[in-house]
Amino acid sequence: MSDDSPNMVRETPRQMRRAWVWIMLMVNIVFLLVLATLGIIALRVGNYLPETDIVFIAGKNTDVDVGDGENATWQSGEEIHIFDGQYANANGEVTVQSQDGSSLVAPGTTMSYKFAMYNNSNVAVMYEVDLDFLVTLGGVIQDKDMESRMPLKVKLSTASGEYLIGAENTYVPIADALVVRRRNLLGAESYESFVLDIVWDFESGDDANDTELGDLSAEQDLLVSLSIETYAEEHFDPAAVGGTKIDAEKETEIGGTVRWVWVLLLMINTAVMIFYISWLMNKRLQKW
Amino acid sequence: MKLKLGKNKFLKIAALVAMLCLVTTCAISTTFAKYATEDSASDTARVAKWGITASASGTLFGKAYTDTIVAQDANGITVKANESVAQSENVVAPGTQNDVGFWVILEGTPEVAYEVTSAFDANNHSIYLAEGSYGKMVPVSGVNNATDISSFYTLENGEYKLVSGNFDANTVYYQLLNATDVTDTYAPIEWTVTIHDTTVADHSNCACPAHTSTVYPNNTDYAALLGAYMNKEGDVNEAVDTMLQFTWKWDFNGNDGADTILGDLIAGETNIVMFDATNNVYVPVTVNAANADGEILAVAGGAEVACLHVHFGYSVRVEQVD
Repeated sequence: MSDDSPNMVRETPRQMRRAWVWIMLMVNIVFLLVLATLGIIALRVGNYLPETDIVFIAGKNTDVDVGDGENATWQSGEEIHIFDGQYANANGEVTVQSQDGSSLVAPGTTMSYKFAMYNNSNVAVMYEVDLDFLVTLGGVIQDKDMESRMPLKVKLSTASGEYLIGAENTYVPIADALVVRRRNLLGAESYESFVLDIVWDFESGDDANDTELGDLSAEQDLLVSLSIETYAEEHFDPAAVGGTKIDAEKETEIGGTVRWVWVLLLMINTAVMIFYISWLMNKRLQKW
Repeated sequence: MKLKLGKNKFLKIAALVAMLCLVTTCAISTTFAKYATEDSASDTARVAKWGITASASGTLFGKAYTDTIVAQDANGITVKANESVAQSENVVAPGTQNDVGFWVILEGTPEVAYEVTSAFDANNHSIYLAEGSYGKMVPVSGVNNATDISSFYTLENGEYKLVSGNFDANTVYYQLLNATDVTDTYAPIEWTVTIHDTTVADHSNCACPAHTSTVYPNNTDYAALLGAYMNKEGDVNEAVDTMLQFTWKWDFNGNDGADTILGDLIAGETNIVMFDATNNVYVPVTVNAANADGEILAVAGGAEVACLHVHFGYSVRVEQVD
């Protein structure tokens, strides 16, 4: 029997086809493993590598900033400008003025502070805005009794007119406002503006208390410190909507979402792999 | 035996399940870790200073006075408490004065605009004697037929009339003494308000502006006495430093006749009379008990003719203005 026999000629192309099948099968297995790995990494570590976009899984880009016109972004514990050192009445006459340039509060003074929360993330967040109030006299932090004597009242609203504290014509005593905790939703790449209004009524109804506070401050500085604290947490539905879009014309790809291409490739690749395995198993069993 | 895998669906189903598990696991694989962040910012303000203090010191009246001229006449005028009067009462009399007086002091520099308002007691009143002719009717003794009784008076129905008939031994005749014509309402107490310059250390001989006036029951006169200091507005950080000194005196060399009449009335004399020009008679001047405002008024013929009591009340208030 020579090497050029017809049987030898028919066996070579078949062997080559089997080799290619095995090669393609291995390629499919590797590709399938890569896709699966990418998905697991994206979904499991997305929060820790927030800017990582894992090909077919949109990475979570989490970034929430708070700021006002003067301070583009608050740094934690930053001093902001809520109070003033000089106030004028409705006629434009200065009726309250600091002797040393420091900020003041007094009967008849009103303050309005505007700030905004920017959710630059591609996921929705739940946020909370809280107030913290502190009174010191001569450098000594005062107790709740002194805090309750401060006649300051507040209300907090959003640009859309929703009141987180108080109501349109209703101020809440600051001691009561501290315990108000209300959560709201802010969508991906959206912002919400807030207005914090503070007032010390000229006719507070307790002139004796107002006078005593003023006398105390004349003897040793009576200071009030107001803190605005914001907290934002990723919403369980990253696609939830709330607030105003930062760029209304931009379509936001929500973080953490699986791109359909990934699922499609995964399914096709798996189907092809199953076909290969089935074909090979069939051939193998036929030989047995 | 040939095992026909194409007809054995077990492996295909198993492979399909494996695929679905893989896809599902990756699709629903998620993390319970959530992104969270917090920020805070604060501002501090000081309560605007008030710190205005108001104090008062001194007294206006007393139970006795030193260095006071004591004048005596037939009836006597003293400057000590009348024995018939409760010892706790303060007295005033011709020749009495109080140079030290009563001080009202306001101090402070608030960081808010303010307004000073003064008010006198609504029932402030002072000693005065109304315009008219007064005297004292004294019984005359030793009158007989030979006495010229043409200038004497008789008491008829509570009024003293000039004798028009002959002598009557059964009639009591009166003589008018200390006749005094008061041509204009006489208010003997002179009030002085001195507005002291707070930068001056010694106020005993300062040239601070003083405002003097004699006033009686009308509080608007008191307002004129204080002038601009009745109401004063202060700007932010403008010192409210104000010192007011109230003093008074009853000049002994004022109207002697009127002083005598007032002194007699204060001393409790009951024979003081006032001329009623309409009826050409003298009517008794009677002193009423103190009214609800503390005034001790003297009336004659149903009309108020004098006040024998002085009351001075003054209050000052400083408050923030919007």
